[in-house]
Amino acid sequence: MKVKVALLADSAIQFLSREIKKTAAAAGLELDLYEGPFGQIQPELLDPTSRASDADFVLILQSSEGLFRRYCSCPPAQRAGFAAEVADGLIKGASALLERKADARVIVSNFPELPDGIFGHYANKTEESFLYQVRQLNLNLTHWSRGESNGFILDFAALHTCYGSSYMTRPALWISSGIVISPDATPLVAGEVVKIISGQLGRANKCLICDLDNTLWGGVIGDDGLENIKIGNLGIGRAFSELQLWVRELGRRGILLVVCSKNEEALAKEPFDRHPDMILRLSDFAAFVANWHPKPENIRRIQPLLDIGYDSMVFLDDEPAERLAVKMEFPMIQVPDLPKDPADRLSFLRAVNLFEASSFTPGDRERHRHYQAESQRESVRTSAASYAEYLEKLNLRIEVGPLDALMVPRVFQLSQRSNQFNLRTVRYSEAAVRAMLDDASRSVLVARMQDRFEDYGIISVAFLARQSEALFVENWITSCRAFGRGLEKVMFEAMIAAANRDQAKRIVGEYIPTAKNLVGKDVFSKLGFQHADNLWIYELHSVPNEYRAA
Amino acid sequence: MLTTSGYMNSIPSQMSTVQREETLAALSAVFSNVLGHPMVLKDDSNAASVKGWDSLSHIELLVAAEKRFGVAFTSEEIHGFVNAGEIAKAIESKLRE
Repeated sequence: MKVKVALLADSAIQFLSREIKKTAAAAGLELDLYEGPFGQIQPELLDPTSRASDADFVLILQSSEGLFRRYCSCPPAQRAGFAAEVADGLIKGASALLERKADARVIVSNFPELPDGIFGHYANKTEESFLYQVRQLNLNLTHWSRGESNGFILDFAALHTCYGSSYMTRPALWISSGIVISPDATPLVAGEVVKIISGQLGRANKCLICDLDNTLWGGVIGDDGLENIKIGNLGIGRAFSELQLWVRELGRRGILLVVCSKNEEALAKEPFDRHPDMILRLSDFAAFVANWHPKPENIRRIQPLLDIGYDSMVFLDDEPAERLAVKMEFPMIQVPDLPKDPADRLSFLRAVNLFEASSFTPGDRERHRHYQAESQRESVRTSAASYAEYLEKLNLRIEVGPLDALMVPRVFQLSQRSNQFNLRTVRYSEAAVRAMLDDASRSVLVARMQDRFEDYGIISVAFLARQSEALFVENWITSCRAFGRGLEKVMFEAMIAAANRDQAKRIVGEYIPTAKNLVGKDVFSKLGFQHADNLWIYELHSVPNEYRAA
Repeated sequence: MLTTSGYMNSIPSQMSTVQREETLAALSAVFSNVLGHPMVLKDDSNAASVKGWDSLSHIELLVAAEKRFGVAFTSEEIHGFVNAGEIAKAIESKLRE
C-alpha cells in the first residue's frame, strides 16, 4: 500500500522531500509524495481539486523566516492579533481539507522562536513583539491539535531548542536558495516526520528492554555489592537516578519495561527490593530476565510473552558488544548507541525520540499504579497557602537509626562533602566510618528523609562518642537538601535516647566555625543547650517532657 | 638561497596550474559521487556540459565539496558559481586563508 503524502511549504523543500521518501522506505513504508507548489499552502488546502485534497497525510511546513516577513507587513496596531490571524488561516484551511476527507491527517509544523533582537527579553512583556506572537501562535496550534483528532504538530520549535539553531538552519542556503533546513538537519527532520506518519499507521515502539549494570545503575552489582552501586547520591548516581525517572515515566505512559541482564537473578533483583535510592521497582517491569545466556536468546524467549513484534522494541545497553549482538540478530530492534559518559545519556535519549506516541488515553496510565503520588507534587506546591501547610502536605517522614554497613559509603561521602551544616568539620575516611560499626564507645545516628514525592535518602549523621559521663557530639552533619524541615529536633530526640541508653548524664556539643558553616551556629542554643567554655552542654535531668525517652 | 616565498613568486603560474589540476581532480571525484557517473571536470565545466548538474543538485554538489575540503561557501558564492573553475578557485583561496 502506497501512502499518499502532500508536502506544502513556503520554502524550498526538495531535499527534505527526498529525505522523507528515503527514510520512509528504510522503515518499510512506500510513500507517494507530492510537493505542492512553492508558497501555495492555502490554495492547496482550500481547493477541492488540489492534489493535497487526495492525500492521506498533509504536512504543512512554514518557516519562522517567512513568518517574520508576514509579521513585518502587519500594521503595528494589529500585531497583538497576528498569531490569532495566522493560526485561524491555517486552521480554517486544515479544517476545510478535513471536512472533505475525514480520514486525512494534517501535520502542521510549529515555528522556531527566533530570538527577537528588537525588544530583547522585554519582548515577553510586549504583546506586539514577534517573539510573543510566535509563542502565542505555537500555543494556538497546540490547542488546535489537542481538539482536532486528525490534527498533529511537528514540533519544529522543540527540534530547534534541542539541536540549536546553528545546526538546524544555514543562513547561506536560506539566502541563496530558500532552504530553511540545513543539509545536516534534513535527515533529522525527515526522521521525525516519518515517525509521526508511521505512528499513525500503527507502527510505534512499545517496549524498552534495559540492561542493569552500568545502565540502570553505576557499577556491577555482582562485584561492587548492593551498598556500592552508584545510584541516588552516591558518586555519579544522579545520572542513573535521572535515567530511572525517565524510564519510569515511559512505563507510566504505557511503554512495557523489560530487564535483560547478565547476572545472577537474585543479585540483580536485590537493588530493586532493597536499595532505598532505586526509583524503579520490580513491579514496574513486565518481564525480568537475569541469567548468563546471550541476550538475543533471552529476547527471543521474552517476545512471545509480551506479544509484540521485534520491530516495536528498543534495547538499551551500555556495552557496545551487547548492542552489536542484538543488532545483528534483530535488525528491526532499535538499539541506540548510548554515549559512554552516563551523564550524556538522558539528553541523548530525549533528543533521539524513540517513543513517538500515536495516541494517549487515560487508560494508558491507569495500568500504572504509581502514577498518582508524583503527579500531584506540583499541585501541592502551588495550592499550599503557607510554608507550614506545605510541609504538612508533604507528609514528611524522618527516620533516625543506627549506622549499618549498607550506609557506610553514603555516610562517608556526606562527611566528605558537607560544608555548611558541619559543626566540627571532622572528615572521616571510609575505613574510619566502617570501624565505627563495631566500636562500642561510639554511636552513629543516621537520618533518612522522605516526603510523599521523593526519597532523599541519608541526609543527616551525628557521630557520638562516649566520654566518661557525657555523650560528646564529635560531629554532626546535614545535607543542605534537608534544611528547614525540622530535622534537628528529630535528631536531638535520637541523641537523647542514645545518651539514656549509655546512661550518660549530659550531651556535650561543640561548634567550630569555618568560612562556610554559619548555618549550624545556633543549632545547640535553639535545642536548649547551655553555653559553657566554648562548649554546649545539655543536662539530661533537664529533658523536657516532649523529648523524654519513652 | 631563495626563500620559500621567493621561490613561490618565481613560478606563480606553474604552481597554480598544478594546484588547480589537483583541486579539479578532487572536485571531479566529489561530483562523480553525488551525480552517480564518472567525469573529469575542467575549469569551464558547467551545468550545461555536466549531466545532472541542475539548480537542485548544485546545492548538493557544493555541500559535498564543503565537506570534502573542509571549507564553507558564502551565500554569494553558492548563488553565483557558474562553472567548476570558479568553485575550485574559491576552494583554493579558502584553503590558503
